[in-house]
Amino acid sequence: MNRRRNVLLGGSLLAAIALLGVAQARLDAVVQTVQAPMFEVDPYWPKPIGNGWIYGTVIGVTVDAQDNVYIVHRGVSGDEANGEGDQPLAACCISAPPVLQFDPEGNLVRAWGGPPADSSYVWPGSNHGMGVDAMGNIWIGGNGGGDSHVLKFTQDGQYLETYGETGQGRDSNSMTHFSQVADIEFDFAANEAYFADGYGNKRVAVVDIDTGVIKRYWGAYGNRPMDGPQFEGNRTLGVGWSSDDYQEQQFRGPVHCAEPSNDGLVYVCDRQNNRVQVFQTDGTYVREAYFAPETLGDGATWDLTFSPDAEQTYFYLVDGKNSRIRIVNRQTMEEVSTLGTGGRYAGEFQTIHSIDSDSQGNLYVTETYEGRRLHKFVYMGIGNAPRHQGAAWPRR
Amino acid sequence: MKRLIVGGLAVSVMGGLAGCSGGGSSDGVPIFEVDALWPMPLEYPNILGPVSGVTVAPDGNLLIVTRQDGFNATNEINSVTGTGQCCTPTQAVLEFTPDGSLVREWGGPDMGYPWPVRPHGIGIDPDGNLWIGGGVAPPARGRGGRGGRGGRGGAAAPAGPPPAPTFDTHILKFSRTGQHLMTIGEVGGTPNSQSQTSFGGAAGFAFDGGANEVYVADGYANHRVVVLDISTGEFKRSWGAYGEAPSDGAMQPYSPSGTPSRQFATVSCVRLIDDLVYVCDRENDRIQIFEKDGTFVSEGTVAPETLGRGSVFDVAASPDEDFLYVADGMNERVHILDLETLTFRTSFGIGGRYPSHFRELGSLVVDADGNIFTSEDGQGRRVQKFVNTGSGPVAMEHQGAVYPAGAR
Repeated sequence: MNRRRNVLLGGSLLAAIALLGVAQARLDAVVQTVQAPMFEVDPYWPKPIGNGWIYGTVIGVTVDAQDNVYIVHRGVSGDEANGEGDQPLAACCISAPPVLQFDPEGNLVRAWGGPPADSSYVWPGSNHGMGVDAMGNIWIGGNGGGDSHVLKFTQDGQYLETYGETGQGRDSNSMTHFSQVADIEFDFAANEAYFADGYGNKRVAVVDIDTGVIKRYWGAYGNRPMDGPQFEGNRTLGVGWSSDDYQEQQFRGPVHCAEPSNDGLVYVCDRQNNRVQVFQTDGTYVREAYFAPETLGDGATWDLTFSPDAEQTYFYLVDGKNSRIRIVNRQTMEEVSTLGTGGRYAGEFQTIHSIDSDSQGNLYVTETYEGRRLHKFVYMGIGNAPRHQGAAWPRR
Repeated sequence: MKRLIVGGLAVSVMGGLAGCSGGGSSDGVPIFEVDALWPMPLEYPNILGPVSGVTVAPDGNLLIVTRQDGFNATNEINSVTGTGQCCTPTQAVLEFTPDGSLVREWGGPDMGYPWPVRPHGIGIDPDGNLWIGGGVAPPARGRGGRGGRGGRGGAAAPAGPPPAPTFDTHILKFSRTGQHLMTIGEVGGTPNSQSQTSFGGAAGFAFDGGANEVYVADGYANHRVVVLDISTGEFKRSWGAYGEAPSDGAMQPYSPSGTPSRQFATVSCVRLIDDLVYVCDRENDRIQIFEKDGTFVSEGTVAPETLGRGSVFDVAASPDEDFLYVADGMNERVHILDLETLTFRTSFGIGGRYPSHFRELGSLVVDADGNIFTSEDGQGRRVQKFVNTGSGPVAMEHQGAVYPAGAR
């Protein structure tokens, strides 16, 4: 089977058959095409980071106003860290510092982060998610057991602030701390930060950018969030499952993204419920949509980012369980195409986790678990795209 | 190697002047570029498992053997566990055309022959048949296990003594298209470097068509080279390090400053090059060379400071037999040596998961055009193609990643 040939011919298959005769009819699959944003993976971005460094699980990504790309990762251990220690076993490998900054060309420009030498701040037990604000400052969450705070640093890693109290447990109605914040995004016009809060808590928390003070919060459907297993539902899904049967009144969590759009809405990833819920910025529920609703385990809705056009016509939804980025029409909430596939090569995923886009509409996607990469997909414009774009390799 | 931080960029510089000891090579060596777009993507939702062997057929097709174990049940084979749409492991043996198209896949457990618990090594004999070896499956590892590092939490360790590892003590022979032809050696036996009826984790093969003999790197548990009749599988001869009788006795851990072991550690490859037998002695960081009758000729070390699993996982010669390429899965690079002297010239590759980065590099093979194909076991799970772009001087002792010059 020749995926490439199908991809190239997909949109004009009938014409190709007419022109080239019956030989083309032997193509074993007719590729359905749709009008959608198209992408090509850049297999050589970013550039090698040198120093014998290697990433662990890449658990957050964000892009600043100058299209610099930042990731946060967790380092490696065991036989992947054979280059570490006073008497290393081999030349490879050494964990890179947890925060890495790349310029738009993919050059590593900064590397920093990790526990401080003093007690000036508490590095998360398990760093998770990041955002960059209008000042260029970097915000980092965490989903370790006692990670109930968010850290704020300058772009070059100078510590600025801790928001929330450290070392606290789950309390989805706390006004003083968080619980395992998964991601951070911003509404610069309102000077507010949106925390996907998170793995412990089951809420969206809105904080003041300058002070970190919690201004408001809400749960699924805008309900008051509730903690405890009795609010996590009893999901027994199967073939024939319908979202009509199943409107879990709390976020199952992890609440894995909370993304304000430019028209006053907030898009929230309720990951293990396989749904995106949409709210007004005051927490008023607007609508929801389910994606791959029969997905169990880790769930289907991990992170999203908007297309860079003025209308933010599309959002790109990371599905780490099914190894695809879903290209979704924001108005209809319907999937129009997908990007990516399973595997370990360029454009292939072993558990994609986080996504952000730059000013040109290029996508940056990270992998957790055993994928451990940052991918770049180059935006190729709206066009006649395959229904499933797969690994989206560039044409030779 | 020195490292400089220049303008915030991490830049590697060579340790010495080109041509000086340990510092690149002013004379010509083959220059390689990774082809990140080879092979073609598999159809969704199929994925490769750990790739534990690679070989090239005379027509230029590439064949690999993959392992079916070690998948993360939490979030990898979700279409098998019924929790999601992706992914599904391929069958065990895949064949690709030189342009990277998948020709066929076949093989694996429960197909009417004793598939190895941990298949390793694949070779194609002069008749066009395929030979597949095995290894040592560590205890408490297998399908359905929760991935140790992948998931949140993870299964608690079971109580009681750990189960014993499982050894593959046989070799399988198939037609090119997967018809089972022969099982050689006792299935489910005990490793024993003296045995004439079983093997101990056969890791690789080399074929002598004129003599109708196959050389077996034996292996992950045994400590010897074995020679068999290609047609019958009949045992003909074997030997250990320095051509001495092989031994399964206790070995001192390798030390760069210690006395070289008179015994092989893991025998992870065997190759026939210009009528000589090249053997990978992995943990001992060395290559030993023999006559076909087992008479010791010479040896050379590769990155001899390497501890742990060692530096010499597999070797293959350039088509002109001027160079020897060494797969080093501990330092995650391919060393280029002068074949005649086993002198180090340069290396490429670095640890990681991007193109020309390696995670558990294990095997390599060279095609008739001089291109190198590598395979990664463990969590690497790729076969990568390195295009031979010709010969030239190399300034870098260790080239690291070798992206194409035209990469944007």
